[in-house]
Amino acid sequence: MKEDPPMVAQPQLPGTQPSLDLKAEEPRLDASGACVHCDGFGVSYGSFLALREVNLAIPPGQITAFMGPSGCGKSTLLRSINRMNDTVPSARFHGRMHLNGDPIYAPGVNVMRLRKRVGMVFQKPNPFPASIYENVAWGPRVHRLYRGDDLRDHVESCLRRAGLWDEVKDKLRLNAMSLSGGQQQRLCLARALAVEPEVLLMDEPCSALDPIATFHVEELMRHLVPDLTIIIVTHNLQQASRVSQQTAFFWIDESRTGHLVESGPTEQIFQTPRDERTERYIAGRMG
Amino acid sequence: MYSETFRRLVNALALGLCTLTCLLAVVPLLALLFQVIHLGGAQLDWAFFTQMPKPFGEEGGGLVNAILGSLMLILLASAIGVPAAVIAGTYLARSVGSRGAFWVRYAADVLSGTPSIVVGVVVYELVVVPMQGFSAFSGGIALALIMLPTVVRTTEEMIRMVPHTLYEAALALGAPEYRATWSVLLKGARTGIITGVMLAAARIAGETAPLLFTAFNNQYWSTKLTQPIASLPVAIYNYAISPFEEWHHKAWAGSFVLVMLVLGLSIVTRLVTRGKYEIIQ
Repeated sequence: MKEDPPMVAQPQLPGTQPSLDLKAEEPRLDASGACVHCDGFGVSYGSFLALREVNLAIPPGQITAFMGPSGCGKSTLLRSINRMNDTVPSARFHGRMHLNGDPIYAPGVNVMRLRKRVGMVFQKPNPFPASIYENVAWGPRVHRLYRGDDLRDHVESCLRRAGLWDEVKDKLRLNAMSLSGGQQQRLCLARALAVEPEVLLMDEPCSALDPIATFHVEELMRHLVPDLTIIIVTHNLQQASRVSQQTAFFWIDESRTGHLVESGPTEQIFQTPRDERTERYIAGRMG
Repeated sequence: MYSETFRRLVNALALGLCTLTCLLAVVPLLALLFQVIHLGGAQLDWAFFTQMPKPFGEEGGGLVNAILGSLMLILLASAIGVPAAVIAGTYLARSVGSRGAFWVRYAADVLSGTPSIVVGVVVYELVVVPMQGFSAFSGGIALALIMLPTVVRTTEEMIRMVPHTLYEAALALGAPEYRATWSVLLKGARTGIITGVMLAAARIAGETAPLLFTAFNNQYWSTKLTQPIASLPVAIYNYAISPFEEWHHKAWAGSFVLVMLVLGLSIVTRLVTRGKYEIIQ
């Protein structure tokens, strides 16, 4: 493997070996007990630095909110946790990130297995153009988790956890596109839960939903912890204060590079922020 | 400031021009259909679909071997061309901006502009000569080459229409790329690809030139891939240039059947894809 500049990792593209600064035999990092641990983690697209050195420990079994103005890198960081940014050819990664002690960016990491451990719900509901049942059963089939009756039971339990079972139990064969926007988003949640992830990433999951559907999704999130660790990106300050226990606040500097300003318990960030920018953002005076 | 009357006048003029150009486009089509139905439909009888051609001088007879031959050639061309085209189209849709994609797209464009007679000559040199004889197989290859660019470009366009977030959703579940491509991209683009295949099939149904040097023609009943095979366009061509009135009638009847085949394919395509597009939007 060729030598790369230090602290630079490349996404694994088809046909190329990832070139990483990390040692193949990197020890498991368990000191903080964090679920997701970022250690000087950054992302650049070509020569543009999108996110600068994030040091962050996301505790397990809680809801952590990523907050900040547009372009501050919070979505970039979120999409780095399940390596969705790998599909951007110019993306390069710096520093380290661990999931429950296992390195996320290291040579030989099986990205598919990683993504099975890190589920994702997207901004706009994006169910597959297939039946409701097929949407939930798709992931378990790919990973051969369940078959036959077990699969059916599993689909039911996922739909229950997503609070959708009572609404769809009689129309599982119906096309998912026939559901309302809020139902579609809960179906996407059920689909993500179906591969039994350890962490659930939610990228502004309610921005396309009305207040009632938003309330539904927030209720569900509260029920999913502490079995699951949830990380949510949100523009909505009220939502962050309503659902999250931890908050990470991001900001963008003059060169349009995003960075982490401060993080901590949501209560503390909202009531006694350490940084002036956080305080002004929360007061609604900027951003 | 234009006056109200002037504005109305311009509007009426533009509308009139639009109507005129529409008529210009539709009238030749209707005239063609009328002519073919008028001259061809009248000559049709049950025997045309069930009997073999008869030598000149004998009454009756049909073109059952040519009808069967045409259907076989279309199926053969699809069997050879469609898988390759769909794979190439998928590659194009997935590798935006890569060098390889540029050349594949360029090749498809050049191929779609290649005169079909040239395709026939090339296949003659590459397949007919080594196989030492005209064959249905070589005809299928020639027609497949003509189908190829249409299906490649349709597949690419249709896959591009599938929202990228669906593909991302599949990857985020931990699916390998081939799985996401197969069951999200290709499944989502399925109806569009089928449309493209049907239209390409309708197009090759009427191709004559590439068959002259490949499938050639056959007076007799043949279903062998290694033997020359009759086809409707070539049969029409042969009957139409003959000096006999009786054979001209057969040519018209053949044209009628061919037009109906193409029309039928288009109608089936419409029915298959009706109301299916909103799913992938």
